[in-house]
Parts: sequence; C-alpha cells; structure tokens
Amino acid sequence: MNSKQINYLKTIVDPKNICTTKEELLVYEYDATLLKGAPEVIVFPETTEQVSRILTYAFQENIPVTTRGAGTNLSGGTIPDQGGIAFVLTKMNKVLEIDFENRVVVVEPGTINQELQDMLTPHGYYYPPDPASMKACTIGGNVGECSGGPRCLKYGVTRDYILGMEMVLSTGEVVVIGSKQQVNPDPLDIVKFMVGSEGTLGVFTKLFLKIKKVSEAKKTMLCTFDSVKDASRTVANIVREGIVPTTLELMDNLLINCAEDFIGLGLDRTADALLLIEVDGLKEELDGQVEVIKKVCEKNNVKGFKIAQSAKEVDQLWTARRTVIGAVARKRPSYSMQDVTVPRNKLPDIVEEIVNISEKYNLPIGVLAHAGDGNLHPLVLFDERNKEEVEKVHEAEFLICKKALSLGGTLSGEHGIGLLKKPFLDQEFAPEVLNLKRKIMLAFDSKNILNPDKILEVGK
Amino acid sequence: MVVNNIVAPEDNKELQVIIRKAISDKEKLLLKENLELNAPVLDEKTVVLDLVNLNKIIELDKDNFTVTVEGGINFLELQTLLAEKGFYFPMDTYASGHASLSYNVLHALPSYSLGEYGNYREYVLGIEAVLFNGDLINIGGKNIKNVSGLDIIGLMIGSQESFGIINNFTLRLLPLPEEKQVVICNFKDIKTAQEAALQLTNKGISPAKLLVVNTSGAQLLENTKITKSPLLIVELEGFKASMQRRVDMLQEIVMPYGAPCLIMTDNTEIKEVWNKFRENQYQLLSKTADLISFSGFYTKLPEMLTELDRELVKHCPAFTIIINSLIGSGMIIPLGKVGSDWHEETSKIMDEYQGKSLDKKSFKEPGMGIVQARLKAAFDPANISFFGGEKV
Repeated sequence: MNSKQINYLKTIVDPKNICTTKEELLVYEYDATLLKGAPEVIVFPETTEQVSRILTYAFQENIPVTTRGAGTNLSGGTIPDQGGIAFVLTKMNKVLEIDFENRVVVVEPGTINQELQDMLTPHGYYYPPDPASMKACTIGGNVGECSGGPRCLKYGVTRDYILGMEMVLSTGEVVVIGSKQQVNPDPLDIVKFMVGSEGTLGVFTKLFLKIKKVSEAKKTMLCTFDSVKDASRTVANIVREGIVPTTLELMDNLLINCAEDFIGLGLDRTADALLLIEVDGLKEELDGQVEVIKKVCEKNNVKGFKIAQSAKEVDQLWTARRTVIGAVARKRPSYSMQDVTVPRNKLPDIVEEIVNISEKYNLPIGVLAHAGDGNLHPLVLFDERNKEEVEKVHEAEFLICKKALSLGGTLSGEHGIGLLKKPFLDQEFAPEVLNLKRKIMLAFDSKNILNPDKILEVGK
Repeated sequence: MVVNNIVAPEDNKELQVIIRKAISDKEKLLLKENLELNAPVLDEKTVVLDLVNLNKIIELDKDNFTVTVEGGINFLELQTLLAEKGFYFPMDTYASGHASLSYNVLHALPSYSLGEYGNYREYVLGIEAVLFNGDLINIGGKNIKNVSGLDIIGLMIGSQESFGIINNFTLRLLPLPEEKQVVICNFKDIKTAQEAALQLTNKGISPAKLLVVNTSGAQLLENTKITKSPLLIVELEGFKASMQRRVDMLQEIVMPYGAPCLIMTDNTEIKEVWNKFRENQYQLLSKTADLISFSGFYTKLPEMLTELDRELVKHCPAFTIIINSLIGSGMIIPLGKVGSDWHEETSKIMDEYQGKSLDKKSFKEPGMGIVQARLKAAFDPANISFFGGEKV
C-alpha cells in the first residue's frame, strides 16, 4: 500500500486508530499458530459506517483486508499473509441489547465471549458456545470460525446460536440478514452459511445471538483410566446407553501431568486418560444418569470415579481443563494444536496412531479431546527455535490429518482451515466441490479482497 | 395441468443422467411432492422427479448414532423404523407422512420440535447430491462437528430445489427418550394460551413440542375428548424421573387460567394424535394458495395473535392459526376463499407487533441480490430449477 492510500484511510477513521510502524505491525503478523505474515497497515474501525467506507475503498483499490478480533485463531486464518489491511474489530465491542424475555442478545463483533457470559450469568442465562479461549476470544471471531467448545455435544456449535447479523460485503454494501426473532425468515439460510466462513465472505458488524436458560442442576464426574482405549470406548458406550452429556472431555497422561503441575488438584498422575463428564437438566434426572455412566465406566475398567461435591470442586476441574493448553509450556517452549474430528467410534484408532506418530518423530504429543464429538486437539510439543524439530512437527501433523481422513473424519471440527490446513483440503474434497466453493467465494467477493486465498486459492 | 413427464430414478447415477439431460435439453425440474403442496403450473418441458425408488436405509451405525439413508424415503416411515430400533430423529413436520426426506430437508419444512431440538443442519452430517450443474458431490460424513471450509450442506438445506437434489443423507440420531407425555389444555382465548406457552418456555420444562392453535385449529385433532377452543398442545419427553414434576409445573402454570387439561401417557394414543394433527394440517395446506407463515417476538405474540384472530375473520370466515411457541413462528391457513385484503390486513397487523411474514420465496434479502444471483449461477448455470428461475 502506498502513503496516499494510507492517508485516505486516515480520513475515514480517527488517525489514532491507524498503525503503521514496524513495531506495531509486528504485533498483528501472527495468531495462535506458528505462521506469520505482516500487514501494511492496521485499522481499528469503531462503527459500521467506517467498516463500510474502508471496504468500499479497499474494493476500489484492490487492497487485501484481513479481519480479526483477539487473534486466538488456531488455523492461521487471521494472518495477513498478503499484506494490506489488518482490520481489527476489537473496538467494536459493545453489547447493544440483551432481551431476556425474547432470549436474544445483540453484540458488536469485538465483544469478548466471557464478558458476555458474565453479563448473562446473574440472570440465569448463558450463551452456549464456550471455546477454551473464551476469556480472550471475540464473538465475531467465534462466528467466523464456527467455534465450539466442551458444551457442543449437547448444545451445538456457534452456528446454532446465530439468528442474524449486520454485515458489510466486500463492495462496502451494508446488509442485514436474518433477524432478532428465533426463525430465519428465509429458508435459504445465508445467516448460518456465513458462520464458519473465516472472514472470506463479509465483515460482521452486529450479531444477533440466541441465549438459553441455565439448567436447574448439573453433576460433574471425573473418571480415570489405565488406557486411553478404555476411556474412548466409554465415550461411545455412554451415548449408546441413551445419555447425551453436556460435556465429555478427554485428556491423556501427558496433559493430566501438565494440568497437575500447573494447578495441583490431586489428579491421578499415573492414569493414562481422564474423562471429565457433565450432565445437566432437572435435578431428578441426574442421579439416574450418573448411575448409568458409572456402570459404563466400570464395564470399561475405570480406575477412579469421582463426583464433584461442591461448586468449588467443579470450578477447579474446569479450570484444570481450560488451562491445560497453556500449562504445556512447562514441558516445552512451543506447542502446535491440531483439530481433527473422527466418527466417535474411531477415537481409539486415531489415538493409537497419534501415539505411533509421537514415537516415530520423538515428539511429545498430548491428546485433548471433546471426545463426545469425536473432536481431537492433539498438542504437539516442541521448540520453535529448532528448525529440524519444526519440520518434524509439520510432518507429524500432516500424518494426523491423513489418518483422520482415512477414518472418515474431517480436517477441522472447530478451528477452521485458514492457511494451516489449506494444503490438505484437496484430500477431503473432490475437485468439483472445491470449484464450487471457489465460485461461492467469488459470488460474495468478486475481487477476492476479503481474507484472500484463505481456505483455498480463489484467484480473481 | 400437464403431468406427463414423471421420472423415478433407480439410483444416483440415473438421477445424474436425468439432471444432465435437463441441462442439455433446457428442461425444468422439480420434485413430485410439489404437485400436491405448491400447485405449480407445469408445461410439457417440465420434468417431475419422483424419488420413490431411492428409499433404502444404507447403514444404521449404532456406535456413532448415525443413519445413512436414501433421500426418497418417506420421512415418517424413517422415523418409525428408527424408533423401533431405539433411535430418535426428532424432526417432525406436517408433511412427514407424505413427503420424502429430500423434500422435507430441501424445503426446510418447519419441524414441530424445532425449538427444542434445533434445525435440520444439526442433524444432516453428510450428503450426496446431484447439483443442477450436473455434478454428483459427496460432502461430510459421520462427524458431529465439521468446519472444513464453507458449509455447503447448510446452504443446500432450505434451498428449495434451486441448487440441486440431495439424494443421500447421513443423519445424526439421538437416543429414544425414555418417556413421552402429551398434555392438551383448553383456553378461553388464543391470547391466554400463548401467554401460558411463554411462561412454560421460561420454566425450564423444555417441552419437545409446544403448539398453540385457535378454535378452528382444535379441529385438527378430531378428538371427541377435546373441547373445541383455543388449545395449548405440549409434548414432554425425556427421563421418567423428572416427568411427573414437569407435568406438575405445567399444570401450575395453566391453573390460574382455569384451563382444563387432558393428559395422554399412552404411546399409541400419542402417536395417533400426532398422525391426525399432521394429516389434517397437510390436507388443509394442500388446498390453499393463501397460506401465511409468520414469526414474532415471544413477548408480542399474545397481542398479535389476538388481533389476527379477531380481524382476519372480516376477510375470511374461517381460518386455522397454528403457532410453534418454542420459536415464535406460525401459520395462518384459510379454510375458504379469502378476500382481496387478506394479505394486506395480515401484514398491517404484523407490522404493528414487529412480526414478520415468512415469504416462501427465496433469494430476497435486501442488498444481497447480486450475491444471490451469482450463487444461483454457481449451482444452476443453465437455470433448470423450476423454482430458481422465478426467484432471481
């Protein structure tokens, strides 16, 4: 971008909301992956009108625009690898409306997930999508990626909670799709199609979210196993018994020890796997479900079965689960988190392959999984300064993806394709499907300026 | 009406051949179910697709709780087969007994259980479809979560046969609920019935179905035990352990309204009630071209419905109102000829209460015109969709 173009942007937003120094650009050249790519300018819009005017100009000038929120993206989707504008929506962070009676909330995209939850909780409501990064990540980012989280098994993903949105198209045109009502007026559901589009189709400026009442009661169980296979089998068997838990999370031995080092809860360090299971509903329903789950666990050689006895204990268990990703830093200085999904009964197979890959490349790999969904997050631990090791990480991750696909799985359950998985996409989809996706992207963004060539190469 | 070109493909390849021929011969295509429900005016170049031969259950995966099935299977038949094996596919529409799975999904027909169980996208995990560009595509599988690129499955659902025909589905299933009860309560007016429904949704009872109908709608049940008046129809399902308390909570809510309730606990009786309700609603819908679908805010619905019930009678002597109170959406089905101001009067009342008329016509979001035209061109470049051509 030239200085004329940057100066023009300063006529649209307050110049203090434009950054161009080398140091400032450095901060926005990465996300939560290992990838990097520097923008030429960083712009913090504050209103829909500013978003619209900037996109109108970018469209006219063919300037790439990479939209982002907190930058917790795990697929390189917010890396401005083609330069241009890093479009940071964190200043559009207002909760505009909370309507408990009609169960709808209107937020700006930069609203932090946890901050919204904190506003809802005292009133007995919540917004179900709860990604691990919820303390930092923005709702706009969650919508762009169709984020999930532990509660997805019973309550679904972000897509299921977006009623409508105000969005700006690549041409700068502002459109409102869907509505604040619980039903989309149009059967052709473009609202839901926008969810998970990774910033390639439009820029969200307002989001209409569906909220839910908190269940009357819940029970949280901690189950340990001597084998990951036993834990994985337990997962499939619980659902077969007619129970859909709110959460069914799995951690392997490496991660149990990382969590224990960090938080010191007294977790069984010798266990090969741990399941964190939660059921919710009316209070009369829960004891029966816990009893069935216990029996299933026993049938699969459970080592320890414990029911959390207090809210504090429940909080501690969830803190262990939510902080374990950061806690791995005690083992190695860098980690790379994968995100593949397989049919639930294939969990033991993929876990076995991950163990083999870990041994083959001599890389510690921790397995964290939303096991009920078959969604795994293998955490490959390494040292980013060791180039040889980085190469091995890439190879190991490629093999994990390949195995997931061979088991009927998919490349991404909740982190998206971005840049990271773009090279593998043709292994999951036939050429005619990729061509169709390409045409759809061009239908929305004919000049390919919005997060250009993320997900797949589009061209002009 | 000319209907001399009905074709029933035997397999997916044959479906692809038919669609490719339609492209080269510039024919229009539509599913057979439309002949009853949408009364289209056809010409000799229109091909009517009957998916009756594509009706096989390919795989019931008990470990992953999925079923892979051909799209021509009757919706209700599929649900019955699954229930016999202990599985539950909770979508349930007025056309369940008449229309194929493909038709229900492609038109995103509203499920009575939409509020509690979500929409089709939560259950359609994988599809095989023949697009109107002639491509046979496979997307998804048995994975509950999938965000690998753009959500083409989501785009196909509700596309109203504008993009292509889904001929194979992999569906997510749920465990069959332990127990089911239906409670039907008589109210003095539609306003109080809807008020009670709103209170129920805030109580944590989580009904599977929660419908309100006006007096005329009570006839959909054809049940001598039920007095003809506005009704609140509640289906509760879940664990036995909590069922009695749910029923008690429900009765506590309706008691101040003096609404007598009939409680059904027998599964056969419940099944019969829904069969009647669906069938009668379907028959009504197949006889009218003046249906109005709408949605509204929960809090505004009681007043809005009261006014609709009171004012529309000036434009049509009898009409049925059915509201899915879990999602604040409903239908007004005229039972006779409507006056010229029928639609105008309805719109006026809905505007007053911020309600929305749900136009069945797709591709109508303001400002999205060019995008939608390009989308349409990507899927159906030769414009062979019977409906698609009218809508862009």
